[in-house]
Amino acid sequence: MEQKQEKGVLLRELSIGGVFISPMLLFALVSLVISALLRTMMHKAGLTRWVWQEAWFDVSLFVIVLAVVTYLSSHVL
Amino acid sequence: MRTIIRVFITLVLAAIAIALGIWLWQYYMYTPWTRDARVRADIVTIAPDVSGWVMDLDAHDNQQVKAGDVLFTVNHERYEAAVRQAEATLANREYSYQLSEHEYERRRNLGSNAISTEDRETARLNAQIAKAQRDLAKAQLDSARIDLERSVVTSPVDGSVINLHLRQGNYVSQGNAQMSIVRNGSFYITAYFEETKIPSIDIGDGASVWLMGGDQEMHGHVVSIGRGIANTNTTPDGQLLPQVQQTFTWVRLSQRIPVDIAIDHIPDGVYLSSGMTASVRIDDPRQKDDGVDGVRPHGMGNAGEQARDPDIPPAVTSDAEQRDP
Repeated sequence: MEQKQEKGVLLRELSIGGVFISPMLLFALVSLVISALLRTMMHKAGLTRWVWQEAWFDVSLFVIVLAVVTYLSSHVL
Repeated sequence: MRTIIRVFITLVLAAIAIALGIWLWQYYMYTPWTRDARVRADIVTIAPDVSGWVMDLDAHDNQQVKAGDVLFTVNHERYEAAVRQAEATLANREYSYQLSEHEYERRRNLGSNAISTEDRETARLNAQIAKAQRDLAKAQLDSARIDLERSVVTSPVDGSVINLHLRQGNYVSQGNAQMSIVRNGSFYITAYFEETKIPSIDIGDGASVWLMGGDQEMHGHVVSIGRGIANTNTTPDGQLLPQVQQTFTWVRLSQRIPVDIAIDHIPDGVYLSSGMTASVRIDDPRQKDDGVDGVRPHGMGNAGEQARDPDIPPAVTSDAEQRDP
């Protein structure tokens, strides 16, 4: 049976010094950093005045970034 | 106006986040992958067919053996004696048979006024009994020879000796396993998938396997999906009543169903041992559009098998058939 070589890390556990962790933890950490950077950049650019409820915005931004990171990890990387 | 735009932007972002969050959940929870998979192999347990001291131990731990290789030898003096005894018994019975046969021959030819019919009949039956006893002794000799032959224990398969605790001089009993042999080339993976992921797994699906040690990816395919796991609710207590477990109202844990995966090719440098931990992902059937679908059975691939018993109403299979492959 011919198998296509799958790309990327996709869903598989990560080994850190023999401890195996869920890939979602890595995705979440990466997303946290990315959304914090985005947040800082928006703040610097003065875009935050277009935001109504900052807490909602932050949570939504994090979820979106997390979904994008997860998607990219399995389809692009 | 500015407030409306601000509210609008935030709400749109929140809506997108909810949609993507749902996708993320589905993706993470229902993609058929598991970290709970083990390497397995065919294990043959070796037990001697005769009891006795171990005279010679040829096998050593983790040794590669071929089918027919001698593993150990049980002290066979007693079995040799048993063979000699059986041979002697056979000779004895053979001669008694000849004796009674000759007696019968002689009496058969005597006239009816020299011997009674009863005596002649007794002689005939005595000859028959002696013949049966000779056959019995023959069978016992065969049995003794088999015992002697089996005092040399050989490997039934090609493989590696596992967990050898046997030492020269140990006493081994008939039928008690002394070591096991992992058959060469019999490695496969059993992945324990949550029952929520079983619907998206088909027999014949490709699978990617990673061992816990090493990053090398192996490919395989699903060969079977387990048809049963233990149900603790049916365990009877001392009065034969079922011990039904309480479930939490909100939290229910999904059961794990074993799925067997044959490894198509073991890459060089990958060392497999039965019992190793592995991660398994079933390759998304939608990504395999290169003719594999034509070969793969539709649906569960065994809907017909599930409904083979004509007493099962067709409703049982309808679920399997409706499944989107």
